[in-house]
Amino acid sequence: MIGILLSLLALAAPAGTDLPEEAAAPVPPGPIRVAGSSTVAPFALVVASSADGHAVVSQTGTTAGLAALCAEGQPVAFAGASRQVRPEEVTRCAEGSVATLVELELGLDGIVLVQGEKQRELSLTAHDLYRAVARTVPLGDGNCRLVPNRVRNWRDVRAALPDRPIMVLGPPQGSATREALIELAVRTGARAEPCLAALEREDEPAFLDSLRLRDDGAWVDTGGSDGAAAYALTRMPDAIGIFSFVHALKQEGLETLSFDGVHPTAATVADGRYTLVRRAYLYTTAGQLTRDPRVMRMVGAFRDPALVGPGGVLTAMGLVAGEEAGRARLIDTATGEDTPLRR
Amino acid sequence: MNKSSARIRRALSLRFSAAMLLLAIASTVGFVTALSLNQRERHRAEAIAMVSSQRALSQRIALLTSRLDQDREPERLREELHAAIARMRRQHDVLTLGASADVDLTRFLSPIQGLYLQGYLPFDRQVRTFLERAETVSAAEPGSDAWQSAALDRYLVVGMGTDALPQSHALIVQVMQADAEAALTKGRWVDGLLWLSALGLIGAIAIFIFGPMGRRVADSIDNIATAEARARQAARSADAERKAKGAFLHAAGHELKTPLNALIGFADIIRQENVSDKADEALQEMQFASDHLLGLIDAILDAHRAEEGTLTLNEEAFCVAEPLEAASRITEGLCRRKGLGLEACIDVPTTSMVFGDAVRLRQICLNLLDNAVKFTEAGSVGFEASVAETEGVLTLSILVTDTGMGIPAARQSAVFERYAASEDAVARGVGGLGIGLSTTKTLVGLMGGEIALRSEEGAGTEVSVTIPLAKVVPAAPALEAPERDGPIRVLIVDDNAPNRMVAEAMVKIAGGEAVLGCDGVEAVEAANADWFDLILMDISMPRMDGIEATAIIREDGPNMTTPIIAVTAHVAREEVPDLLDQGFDEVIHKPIRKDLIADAMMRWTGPGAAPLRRTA
Repeated sequence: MIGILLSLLALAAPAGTDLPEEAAAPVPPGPIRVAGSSTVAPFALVVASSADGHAVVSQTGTTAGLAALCAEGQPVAFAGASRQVRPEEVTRCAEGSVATLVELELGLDGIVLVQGEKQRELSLTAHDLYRAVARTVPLGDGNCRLVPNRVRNWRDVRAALPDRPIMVLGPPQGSATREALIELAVRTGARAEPCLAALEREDEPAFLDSLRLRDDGAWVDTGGSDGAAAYALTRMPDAIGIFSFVHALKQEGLETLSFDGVHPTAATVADGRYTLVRRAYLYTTAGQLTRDPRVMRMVGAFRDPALVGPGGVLTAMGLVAGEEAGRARLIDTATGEDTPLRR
Repeated sequence: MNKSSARIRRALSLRFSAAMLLLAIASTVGFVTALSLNQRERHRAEAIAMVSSQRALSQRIALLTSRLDQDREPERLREELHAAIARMRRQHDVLTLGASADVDLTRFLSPIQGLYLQGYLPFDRQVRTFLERAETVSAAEPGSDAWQSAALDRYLVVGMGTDALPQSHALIVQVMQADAEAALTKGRWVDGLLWLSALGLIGAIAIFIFGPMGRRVADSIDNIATAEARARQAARSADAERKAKGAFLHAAGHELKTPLNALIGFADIIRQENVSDKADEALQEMQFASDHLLGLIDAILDAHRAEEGTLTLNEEAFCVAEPLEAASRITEGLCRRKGLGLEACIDVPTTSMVFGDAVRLRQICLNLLDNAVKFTEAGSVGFEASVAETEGVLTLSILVTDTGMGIPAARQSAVFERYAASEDAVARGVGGLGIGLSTTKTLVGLMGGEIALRSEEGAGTEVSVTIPLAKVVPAAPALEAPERDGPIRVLIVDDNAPNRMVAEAMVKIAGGEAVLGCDGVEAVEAANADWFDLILMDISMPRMDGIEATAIIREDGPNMTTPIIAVTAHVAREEVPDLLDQGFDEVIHKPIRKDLIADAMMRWTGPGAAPLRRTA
């Protein structure tokens, strides 16, 4: 524990120019506030309660969570993220008077496809998923013109798939899970189309634009509540859902689907056989860290192998402990330079 | 309506009512089900609308929150924000069953509670946190400390109100719509089941209610058809039987009349000889008996014809007084034999000639008089006849009275029924066939007349008859006939030897001279060989009948214009009405009497012989 504190004090030194200013800000009253990814939210709750006992977690999605962390008055102490912070977000933090971001890597989280447990098996590939959820698809037969996707039934995606209407309940815009799904599954699937593979090489922005998801009812944004989405799946048996592996484990009455022939388990997520995997992060600011001892305690807890390491509490909750779990770095928002932290 | 028909009507009515009741019940069930499903869907639509409204409210709250520090009238904005928050909270309470929701809405809200309550951070919690944050924001004055400390709240209210809450509410709407579609599918099944049930019910009604009824009606129709066929068969049998009976009666009548003709004729002839008084009396009795028998034969045949509807009248000119006087004469004999008096008053001019059937008129009078004599043991029988003329029509009125036993009032209406009078006669100790009065009534009816009976038991009976008769207007007098030399020459043709002998004797008595022929062939030969004043021609004969022989005689030869009188024992007068059209000048029926022959000879060969015509 002392080691952690020393390290934190040490990492505060390079950003000394803004520390006095940030330190002058009063410690906000009330519980520690956490915003961001719904994937990270439950871990934040557990860790916060173990470290301090008073935390309020808001599932705003990764992008909104990071924005809140750097917003005026720094209303939240932590932002949970299902991806790494982007350079433009770092820049916005600099504009929001946050000089240094602190990044903690929590572990690996799978993105899994689920359905009501009474449904017939639906084994999808990345290409299937692309053909089902992309807003536009090539006309086909050598014609690369992108046309609105009119496919309504899985059987029309691939003849071997069952006769079942396409309805995918997935995370909304701003969700890192959605971005990861597009990146890992939809983009991969699109590449299987020769037209789009060529487009990616020749005009990447146009290619990325072609990966937008449908808005005609085949894809349904579920909002931030995984519980509601999970329950909806039990009421709409034809639908499939996109969940983080962590949440999927918690839902009753649902079963996970294999993707590209691999069933998602802690082992297949950890060893990379299951390909829909992203990393989970927790962000705070150096100012919060130095100003509020509770924040420091939580950071310490998140770096504790007993929590994030193999066999730890978070892995028991579904987070897969990667090699980098517990790794931390400081990001200078002005320059974007980062400084790894020792354990 | 017989019992069977009433039973079928009752059963049909009952089954029809049962069928209508069942259909009414089915229709009501269908209507109530449809109404109930309709009501349910209306409440479901209300629930869905409420969730959709939450979606709009969260966006409204986010919008108002984002404008709080920019608007020139922050107070108005805050009021609007308060109202939106209050409304969203109220509706959220209803949707999460926290407030006293309408029972009808609860039915649709209960299944979606998992959407609000499931998960480690349930959507319900998110909504309430959102509302709390929005309230915190709305309570803070822009620029104040509270405003500063509510920065996260503002941020989250704007973010969640714009995306997460509308999306989750949209998801709830989507789930409810999926439920609605499932309910719609179920409703279609219910509709299908109702339709099938209705079909089943109609089928059941057809099979179990109208099927048996139909079979019963079909059976009844079959029974009716069978009964009709039997009736037709029976009618055919009866008709054949009646025809056979008629044929038998005709034949029997002809066969009986032929010898009877000889008997009567011979008795007539013998009485002309000088016989002792005793023998004359015996012959007279024999004539009476023969006449009676003849009358019976005619009565039987007439009754049969009346029954068949084939009784018709002859149409010939006659002196209306003659049949009346004949009847009177015959009755006089009957009365004398029974010791009764006959008070006859025939007030009819002997010059009154009419067209009609003299024989039938005599028969009517005789039947009535015979009946009066039969039922009168003491006293007298009265017979009055008179005519009244109106516009060329003579109305003959006949009144027959007796001082007999009379007829009880209860039986008076039945005396004109066939065979009823027979029972009556037997009951009263007198004989009779019981057909005379009914035949009389039929004859009077055929003549266009009327018959009425008035009787008092123990005091006697009175029968009155009125008959209209067409008057005969005598033609202009014929030219004076040439004086005759020698006796009247008559050719008598008959295949029956006794009848030939009788006719020959009667012609001789009338002062004529007879040549005989035994069939048509001989008649033609005789007519070709010599000239005659009159020919009496039998009709039914072997080799050539009288009709054919007459036709040949009329073709050529010395007797082309000689009067030819058909003499027939044919019982049916209506069988030979066209004889007059076939060359005959008159028809007389056997048995022949000397008076009849003398009369004919006088009429056709005498100085007054002239054709007669009927009045208009």
